[in-house]
Amino acid sequence: MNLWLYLHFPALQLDSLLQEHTAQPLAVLDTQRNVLVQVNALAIERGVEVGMDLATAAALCRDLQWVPYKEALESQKLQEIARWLYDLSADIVLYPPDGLLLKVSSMLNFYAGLMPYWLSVQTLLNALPYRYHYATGYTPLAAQLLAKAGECHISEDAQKLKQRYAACSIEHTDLAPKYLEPLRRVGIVRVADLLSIPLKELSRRFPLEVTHYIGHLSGELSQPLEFHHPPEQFQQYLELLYEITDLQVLQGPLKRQLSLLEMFLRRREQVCTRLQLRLHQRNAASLEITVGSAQGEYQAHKWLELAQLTLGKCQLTSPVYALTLRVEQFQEKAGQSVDLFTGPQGQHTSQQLVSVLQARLGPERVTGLSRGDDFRPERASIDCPALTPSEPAIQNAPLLRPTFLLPAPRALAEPVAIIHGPERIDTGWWDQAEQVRDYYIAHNQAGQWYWLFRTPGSNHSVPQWFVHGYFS
Amino acid sequence: MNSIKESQNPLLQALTSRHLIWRGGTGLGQKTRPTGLPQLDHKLGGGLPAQGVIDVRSLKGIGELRLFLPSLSEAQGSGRLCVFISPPWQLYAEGLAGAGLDLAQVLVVRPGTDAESLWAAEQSLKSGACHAVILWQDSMTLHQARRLQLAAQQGQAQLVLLRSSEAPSLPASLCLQLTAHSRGLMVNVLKRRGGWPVREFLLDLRNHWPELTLNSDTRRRRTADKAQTL
Repeated sequence: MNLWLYLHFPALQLDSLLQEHTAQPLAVLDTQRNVLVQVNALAIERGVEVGMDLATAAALCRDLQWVPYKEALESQKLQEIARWLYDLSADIVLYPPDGLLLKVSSMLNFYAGLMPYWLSVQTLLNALPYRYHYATGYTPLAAQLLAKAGECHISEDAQKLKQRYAACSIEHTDLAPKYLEPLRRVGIVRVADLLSIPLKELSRRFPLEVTHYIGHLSGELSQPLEFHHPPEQFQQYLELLYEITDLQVLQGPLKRQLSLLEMFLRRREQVCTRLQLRLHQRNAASLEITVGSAQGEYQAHKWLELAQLTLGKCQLTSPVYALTLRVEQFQEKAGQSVDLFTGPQGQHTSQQLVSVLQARLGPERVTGLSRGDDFRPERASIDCPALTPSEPAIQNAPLLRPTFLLPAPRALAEPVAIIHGPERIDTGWWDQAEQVRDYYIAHNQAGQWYWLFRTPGSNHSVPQWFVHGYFS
Repeated sequence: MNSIKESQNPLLQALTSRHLIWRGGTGLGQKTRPTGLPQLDHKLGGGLPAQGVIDVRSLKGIGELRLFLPSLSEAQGSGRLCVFISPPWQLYAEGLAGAGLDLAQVLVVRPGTDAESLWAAEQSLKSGACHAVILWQDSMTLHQARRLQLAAQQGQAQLVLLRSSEAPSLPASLCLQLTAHSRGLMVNVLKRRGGWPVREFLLDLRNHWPELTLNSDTRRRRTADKAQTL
């Protein structure tokens, strides 16, 4: 028989709200049944309990804040937890909205025992902000039953485990309430009462669902399971407890998201070069922000720095109530080498510097420079993506060229002295941008050195002089 | 010679050890980078300061950038970047490559505002990823210049600040005023940290830039006028 571990998260939605700085009672309300389903510690202190209706709770605690229960949100959080656990345990079954089942037996050889396995799972769970109950069992349902009953116990002893789950109340089983009531009427309160009845007898006296449940629980019937396969991307949604209008305040929640990303990347020995951040705004379309890093980063503080620079350029039109962080592409982490003797001289490498500059100024404002294989001056110098390795251009005879080129040639409007020239550039007849120009080097009375050109005169045009560059 | 004398003279030794004696030229032990022009190196006591702000005031286009290209290309051996921030016109790749610069280590930043230029300069300087930043910006306050000086020391980088000739003076490691001259450049060293004052001198560039000086031997002067056809 296989050993299973069931994790039950009793307050998944409540714990997922950002409540680091809140010092007020908080509850999650099932709006359909008007019943509180999750309450925080502060609310419990004031006497609020799970299962109360809102009016009673409000009477006990005037400043109780509540949020509506969302099953979809819990299921999503559960998926996230499953993704973390996937690094430690191979077979995981999701029990939405609030449970996870882990197959332990297949991992025992790897971890050399149940306790080392549990310790590593526990370390991970404790790093996440969710409360949880846990239990082991030799069938999935036995583990689930114990966990839901609030058991926090790990054991391999089949006999003891059976005693424990047999002692549980039938309220903690997965059976629908409509089956529980008839059972209670015939005096069945504990699971043990059901287990003592043979299955055949059970199927005659009670609905089929009860028989199936007990069969699965005791292991007499086998239960089909569908294992979870995590997606290959990182997506994390965070709903904020309060609406944010100032981007500075957004740093806290963002930092938390980024540290989760760091944990995710660190486990996979990967980096990412691009983050997609979506700020969900109350009364406006959500704001999509892309943050890039040329080198690829995994560290939260580096990403936070880049994200802040990008956010600095953004304008919020409406308060933000949630944010989603998404990363789709990952890269293997490559080793970065620094000079052994000089050592790292600052806090950044070239690529990091480029990322920082591009994040604030925009990628089009931070470029490299490269030579184009063309004689036309406008095409002989081109902007290229930053840090492109320069390819050796076709070697021409070394020509004297200016350091600056004017964006557009300017008509010459002052007396100059020509020192060198002409140098004729006659090219481009193949691509509709033919140029015939005579270039000269000249200097003016102030001592500035110009690169001039003259368009040759023809029948219908007078030659004209233009300034095209500076020998600065 | 100096060191022998010092070790023999206990009084001098005591004064030196308590930093009561300041020595011109050698006192600050600044690292320098040769400019590639022996005459200029000699006048500047070894070359340009390797770290800190070099404030250059001149008319644009007289050869002020060319003056720094040999030392920039020399310093690229370290594999660090050379960042050009807010150039007044388009930088011309062929011209820079012709002066020996490796374009793969050149970064051109064109921020929209003065504040962004300063920010980009500070980030680049203190990143440690650049050996030099060349910044074109006329308006700068004392406070901003001091911040850039600190950033440059932090990242062991050099900031060449190219400004118009009328700009007010700033705290810098080296302040140069350049004016055009037919045989090169007139250099006026307005301030040099830890150095003796130097009188304004003519930097003869006829050997380094023969085409861009008026050398009397190869002089071929023709006056061009728009109306005149050659």
